[in-house]
Amino acid sequence: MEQMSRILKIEELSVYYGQICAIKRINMEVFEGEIVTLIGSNGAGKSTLINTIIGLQKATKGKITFMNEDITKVSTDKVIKRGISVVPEGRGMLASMTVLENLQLGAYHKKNVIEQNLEKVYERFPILYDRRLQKAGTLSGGEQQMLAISRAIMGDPKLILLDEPSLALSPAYVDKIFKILVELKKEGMTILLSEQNAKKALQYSDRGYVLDLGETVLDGKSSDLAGNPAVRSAYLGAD
Amino acid sequence: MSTALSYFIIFCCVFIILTWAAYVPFRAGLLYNGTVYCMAIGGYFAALASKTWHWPFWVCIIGAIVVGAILGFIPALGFSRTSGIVTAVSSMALIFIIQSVIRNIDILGAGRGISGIPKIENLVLYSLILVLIVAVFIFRLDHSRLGRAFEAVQTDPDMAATLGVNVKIISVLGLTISSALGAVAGAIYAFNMRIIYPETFGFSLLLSVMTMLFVGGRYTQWGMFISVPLLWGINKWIPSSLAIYAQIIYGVILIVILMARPEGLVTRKMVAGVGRVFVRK
Repeated sequence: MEQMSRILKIEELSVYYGQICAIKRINMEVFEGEIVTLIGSNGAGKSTLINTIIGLQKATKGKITFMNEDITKVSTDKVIKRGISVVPEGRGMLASMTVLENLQLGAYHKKNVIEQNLEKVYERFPILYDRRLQKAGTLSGGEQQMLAISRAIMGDPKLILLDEPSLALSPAYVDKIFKILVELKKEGMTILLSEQNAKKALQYSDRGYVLDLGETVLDGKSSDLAGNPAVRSAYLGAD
Repeated sequence: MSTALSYFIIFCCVFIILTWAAYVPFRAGLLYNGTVYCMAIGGYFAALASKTWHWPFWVCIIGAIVVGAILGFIPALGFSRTSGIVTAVSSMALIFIIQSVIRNIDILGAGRGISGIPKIENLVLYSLILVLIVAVFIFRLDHSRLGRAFEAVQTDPDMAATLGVNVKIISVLGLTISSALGAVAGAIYAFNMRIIYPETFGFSLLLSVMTMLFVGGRYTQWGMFISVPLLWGINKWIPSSLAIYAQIIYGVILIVILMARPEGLVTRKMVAGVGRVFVRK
């Protein structure tokens, strides 16, 4: 990878909850236009890492650089304004608001692009147009995930973070969601996702990091990780 | 129109605006009890400006809005760092502070208050006009980008921040708007009573406002049109022998409504239903 195309760099990042270490000296890089996946079991530190990147969780040590700017201590709303958007675990729907209002909030910091991006979203997901005046909380799980991803792209981000996008979705919707991510990648977006469904995540991503108890234990091309006996045994259900 | 009826209408206008002042911070997820403090500021400013400086009514109202917003903005900077019960309890302290300050300032009449506030002709009409203006303002606010940010912060402040909303700025804005509205209510109150005391702006008034907000429905702006005439006129609706128990009746109504109908009398679902009827037509 060329140095110029690096969009996110994490150096020696550690996060502690009191005395408990959630993330220990993690180093990571994400380059423009790729899908990078974080895999690991519950408690591996995947969500903590995503929350730390967007400033919801304070880093104890280390540095996070986005587009060559240090964002380690930048507040969440300012991180979002710099071009990172997030699809949180559980989708983060504003259930009492309509689909349209959720989408409008996705571009809260970029109000001049709302109309044109709404058109793009409705073109991509016609179901969201049909349901634009419906409360977000009344959508099915798959539709909510579509809405969450659409809301994340409403503000024209440079990097999208997704925390467990396949959680509680039917297999058909899991495939649909990953195909949407591949489409977004083809359009030039960069994606970092955390996922317990390692098989799907490695199938659709370019590179991956395997986290265990807050540490990076493996990293590399997704195809290599999928063939790694340790990964196959621990996360892919192979003997 | 009889004097009693004009008093009733003007007081309803005062409490509708005051309840909206309590509604705005609630929309932004803040349990703010400083509305009475802002009402005192508006009331005393209007009393002083009209009696001492001979300002006309509308200039007094604009002045009250400005002063209320400024004196609401300053504590809002602190409250934007708090949440939940901490905001509720700490904002109550503003009531002690304002009462104590007024009692110790001679120009504000100290404990005696300010009497002889000039009479305003057409105060009923002016009060209704102000209710209309504030109603339109709140409606526009609720359906604006800022209103959506308020709602997001109320639902989940962290979630709102991940959408690029600066939660602290939203809190400060909500409290400042609330303070300006509270000051308008205070100014109308002062012109209606023509005398103003520090004791008026105490916990009893706070209880009344919160009851009107929660009984009417704290998720829409429309419930106040039912709860305010109902509760403000409670002394008119109940037998005179029970009038001394009005505060107890207030408390009982609040508890019963919250248990039986947690969203209040007017819910969002009702408002949406009414809205759909009009859209179809």
